Amino acid sequence: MLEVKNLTVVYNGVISVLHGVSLEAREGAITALLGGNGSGKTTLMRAISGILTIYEGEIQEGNIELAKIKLNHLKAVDITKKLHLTYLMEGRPVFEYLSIRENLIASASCRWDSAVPKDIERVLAFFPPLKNRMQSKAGYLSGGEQQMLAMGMALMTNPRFLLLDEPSLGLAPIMVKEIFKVISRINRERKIDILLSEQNAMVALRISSYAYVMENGRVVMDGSSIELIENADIQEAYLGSKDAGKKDYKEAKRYKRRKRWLG
Amino acid sequence: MDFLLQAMFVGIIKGSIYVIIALSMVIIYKSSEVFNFAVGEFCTLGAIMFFFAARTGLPLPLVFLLFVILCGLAGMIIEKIVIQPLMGRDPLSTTLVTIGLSSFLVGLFQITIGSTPISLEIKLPVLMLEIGDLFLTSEQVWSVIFAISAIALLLLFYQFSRWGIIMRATAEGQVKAMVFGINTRYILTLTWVIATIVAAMGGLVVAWSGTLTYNMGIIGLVAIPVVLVAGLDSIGGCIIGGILIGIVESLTSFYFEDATGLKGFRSVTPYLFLLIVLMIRPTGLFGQVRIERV
Repeated sequence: MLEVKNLTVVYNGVISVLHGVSLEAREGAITALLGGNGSGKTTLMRAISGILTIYEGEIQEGNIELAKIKLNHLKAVDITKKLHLTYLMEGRPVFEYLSIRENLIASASCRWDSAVPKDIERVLAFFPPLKNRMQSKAGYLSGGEQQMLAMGMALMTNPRFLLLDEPSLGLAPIMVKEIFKVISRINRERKIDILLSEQNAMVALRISSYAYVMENGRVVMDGSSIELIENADIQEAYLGSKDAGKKDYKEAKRYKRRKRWLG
Repeated sequence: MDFLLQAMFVGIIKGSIYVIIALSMVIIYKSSEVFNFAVGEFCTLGAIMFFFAARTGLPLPLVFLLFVILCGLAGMIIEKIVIQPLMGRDPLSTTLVTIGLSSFLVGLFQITIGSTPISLEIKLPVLMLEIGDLFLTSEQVWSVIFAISAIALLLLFYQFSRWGIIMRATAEGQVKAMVFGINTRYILTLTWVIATIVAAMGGLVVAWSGTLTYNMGIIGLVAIPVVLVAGLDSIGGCIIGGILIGIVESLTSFYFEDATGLKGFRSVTPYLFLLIVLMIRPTGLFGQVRIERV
């Protein structure tokens, strides 16, 4: 179980990005993290995975715990290697000049053992389109294929916990569907817990069991995914309900007000 | 024209040494965008290490092994002390530091081996080559064999071994590599170790076909036009660029210098060649084609 308690993060010593974020990602589940641009999703993931310092960020208050082990000051390499938490950055972080096979080999470097060749086959079983193009450079793949490869690379690190940062970013709707199918399969078949950040709220809520909504560095709402799909505010702000056009400004303001109470 | 074949071969031999030295620079440039101006001193370092390793009186293969280990260690120490504290800074600062490192090493070498030239002797079977007009001394033949095997070993390592793949991955993006659990700090050290060993092998060949002096690192300057002609980050380009420059240099000394009486003009030709190439192709001959999906 991943627990974030009252986390405050500051960039460059002055720019405050997260103001006391708390959340929990339960074992065996997919937890969704919704929110628009600049709401702090990526910062939260950077903090968890230990690469915040590279971006001149700093955890000022609060705790991050994975299975009761405090992650606050651990190095990114150790978090991946020893605690088996892998962060898949947004924007398809593949090594463009390496072939698919080389990408998978490079990302398995932290746990090099005799099982790697077998594991490559196991990972490829999740992503059949990659199989025929093992020798082509990752930079020449389509966006969907790159996202698949990136997820395959994350699997090669042998994770028990995965942080996925906007896996649907810049992909065609049909590809998004495909990717999310695989995400829930990975969760079920490989027993990997997942924390998933998304702007595409509908797809994320469909495969997750619990969800948090972030805005301006705060968690403004949380609940089981089924609850949130039904929630009027969520429908209005993220899902675009059918009669959204008819609402007037007064009603839109209700959501803003509510947010302040919750935050 | 009876010299042509001979001139070409001499050029290729010279060029293959340039290739080794340039490769050392390219590996470092690819992984950290640092331009290692101390590469010439790494060559001298190699020759000196071999000199000391040969003194132990061990059989040649063991001397060689000792030489590789010593050079690797030296590379590691240099990286830990000089390069690592600057990690995360602008690559330009590290590049400037390598210039300082280069003068420091020259001084250090002068203290260690003095200013008198030393000749390295390696007892290898005589392999003279005489085909028609072509005549190559045993040393020349051996240095070609040596250079080619060094280049081949490096390429095999860099392209196919697991560590080579990880090095190339790290070269593409350190943060990306880090989140996949690659220990980038360790990989950067490894990069410098390998670059040092490669440059040292180049230095060994240079010292062996000439003499070992404390300031023979001047040869490193020729690697700069080679690397630039190749386009900074292309390994294949380095090989072709190095051999091209070797041939140009040797053709100049065989034909141009005699005809015009301009002795020593050949040392200018690499830079002249670089100037012409850069005027026509500002990215170098083989600058890596950026992958762009449309």
